[in-house]
Amino acid sequence: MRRKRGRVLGLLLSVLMLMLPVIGCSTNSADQKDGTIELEFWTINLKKNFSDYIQGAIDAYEKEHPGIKIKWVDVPGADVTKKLLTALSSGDVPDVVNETSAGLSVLQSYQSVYPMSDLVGKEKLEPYIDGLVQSVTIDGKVMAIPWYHGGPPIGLINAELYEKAGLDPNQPAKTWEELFAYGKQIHAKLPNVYGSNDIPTLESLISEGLPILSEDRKTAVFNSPEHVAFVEKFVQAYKDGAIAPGAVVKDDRQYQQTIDNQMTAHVGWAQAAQLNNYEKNAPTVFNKLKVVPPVSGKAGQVAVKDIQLFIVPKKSKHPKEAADFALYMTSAQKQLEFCKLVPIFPSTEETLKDPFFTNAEGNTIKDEARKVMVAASPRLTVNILGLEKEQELKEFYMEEIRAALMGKKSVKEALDAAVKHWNDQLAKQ
Amino acid sequence: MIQRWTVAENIFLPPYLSSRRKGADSLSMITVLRKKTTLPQPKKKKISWMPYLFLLPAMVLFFTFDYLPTFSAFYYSFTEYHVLAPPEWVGLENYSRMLEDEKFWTSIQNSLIYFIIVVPTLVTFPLFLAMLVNQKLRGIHLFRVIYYLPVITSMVAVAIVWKYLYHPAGLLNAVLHGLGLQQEAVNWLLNTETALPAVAILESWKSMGFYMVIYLAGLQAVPHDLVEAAKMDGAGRLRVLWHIYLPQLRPIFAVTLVLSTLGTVQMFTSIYIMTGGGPLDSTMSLPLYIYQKAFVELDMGYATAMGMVLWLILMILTLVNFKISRGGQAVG
Repeated sequence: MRRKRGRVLGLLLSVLMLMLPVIGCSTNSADQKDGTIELEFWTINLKKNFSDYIQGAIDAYEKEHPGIKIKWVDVPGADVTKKLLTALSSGDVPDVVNETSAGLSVLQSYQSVYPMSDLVGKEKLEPYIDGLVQSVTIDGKVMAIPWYHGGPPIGLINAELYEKAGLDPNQPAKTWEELFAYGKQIHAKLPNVYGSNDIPTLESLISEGLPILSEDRKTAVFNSPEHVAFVEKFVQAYKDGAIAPGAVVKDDRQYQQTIDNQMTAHVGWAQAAQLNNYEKNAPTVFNKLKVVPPVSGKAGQVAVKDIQLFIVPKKSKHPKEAADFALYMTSAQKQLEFCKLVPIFPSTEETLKDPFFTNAEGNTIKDEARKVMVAASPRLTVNILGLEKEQELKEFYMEEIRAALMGKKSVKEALDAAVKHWNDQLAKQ
Repeated sequence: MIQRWTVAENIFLPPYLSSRRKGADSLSMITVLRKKTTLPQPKKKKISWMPYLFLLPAMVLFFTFDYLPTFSAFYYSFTEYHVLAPPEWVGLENYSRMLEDEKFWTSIQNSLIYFIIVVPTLVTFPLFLAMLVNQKLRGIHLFRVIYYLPVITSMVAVAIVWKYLYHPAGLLNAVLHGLGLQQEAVNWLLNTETALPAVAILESWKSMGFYMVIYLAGLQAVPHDLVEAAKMDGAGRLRVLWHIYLPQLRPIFAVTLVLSTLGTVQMFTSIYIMTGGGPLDSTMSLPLYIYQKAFVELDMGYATAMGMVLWLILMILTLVNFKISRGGQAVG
């Protein structure tokens, strides 16, 4: 009898052990029995610094829409596309996702995003800045709602190091040539300090008015003698110490010599939002910084490589509600509140008309940054080419540029190799 | 009764027991069984199914999370697969693509260099370390703990700290400069010549304690009478090491050789954190390249094909190692 009981118990335990992982894998049904809809909302790296703002917006939205509950999930920046793809393949998908334009290009190649213009109608997208909407328009359909972006780049100077190097912080570099000449002088006078980490990105080619693709967009054209001459200036600057040796790392968050460790003295193109990090992590250096206009190339344009967006995955169970929430989060008023917390740039025209931007006053460094960004905004473009495997192509270009900077290849060889790779890929599209 | 025995045999007996012997048909088998039942036995011997039942959950988990993905990976290696779209059969295309992929060959070559630096270091150096901590000294346990600490420290944390050591303005350059060994700071991790050895040194340092403990166990298992006898015969320290310890440690060498070889071929975390495979792919290892193809570019078909090649390399290396070390048999 006891034996039999033991067996039954064993059997029960075995079944329980088998069931455990299954129970663990079970999806929590999002929607409540009372008809409340739960929307899963993903943001990129906002919980740590902007929790009050995001949670406040969610609470206000839930109050206005009693039938909707928002489940907020914050995802690390480098992981969002990977996590989203995993979610999409598992079927347990979020409803509203904060993505970047780079991430959108990956998702779009798998047709996994709802066209936003189909969900909300084109008229609801009118308040957004045309250039930004254009950058997320594919085959006539607006695929995402633009949110914030870093804004036009700003220039940064460490005034103390500038003076030590015999330079005047009130006479900042206006062009790439000046930036490198100053950088060379800085490194010559202060051997442990370098100029900056500015390298010849595709965005810098745009600033110089140098094309990336042919007019029919079927071939890459960035290996002309003009392109080669432009990139060679950077290679020389790298040799001179006007560009820091660590500027060739793959991940731009891993630079060795930075403005906040005082091993570089200026930045030609910086993201204003970084000021918040410097203030928090390097307060003594922060007090020595001065915001100046970004350097500009011959074309006078300044370009950003990425903007923040909201997308609704195709597998979302409540796409209409999700899109409505995305419209709410990106409304002019909500964006104005966000811009007041951190030096970012909104995607709605109305926000930019607010006195906060038009009469930028105050003398803090962040106010200065805002003034510089507003002044540069008419010259802003977004470098999104709308190509398949765009990120892979851009990374291939950067790797060739790194080889040229490190002297492993001539500039001509590097650009030719990149153009060949691009053209091979473009021929397949 | 006959029926019951037959069923029991088919279900629970291992295949080599249930297979019929040559020349014996099923009827004679039954007869044998019948004879058995007629033997005066106090209780019939039954095969207990309980152990198998208890093994079942583990087997299900193994199958679901280990074998199933492995078999799927083998299938995907013949397809073009980008996660969100269904896989398309492309035959051997992924494998032929590898032949022309420069980055793939660079990563194989890098793994070979890692192997050349790391394996000899991890097979020899920890032995001497183990001999040192095998002394009967006061506080020797503390030294063992100190040498073992890096093993249990997270590789991510260690790699970040070592990144600062290798920084142009870091400790290593400061020490070398202080000793007058170098004039200009070396950018260890951003120089195509030094980055790979720099990562390999970190890997060796981190695993040193682990291999030391394996050798220590081996040293302590060497029969003391052998050492005594050799000493009585007038053998010096070196002779004892060469003729007693080393032959006795042969199985341990086999273990360290296999483990360190597998470790170097699978290097990932340190490279991912310290260099990301750069500069200019000079530290790129095959696992990191597979990761990039699979999870950055979502080229799962090609990534799994490379995964299969990695598996094959690991199998070959293990077999070669096993052969060289003569199956890990100690020489008596």
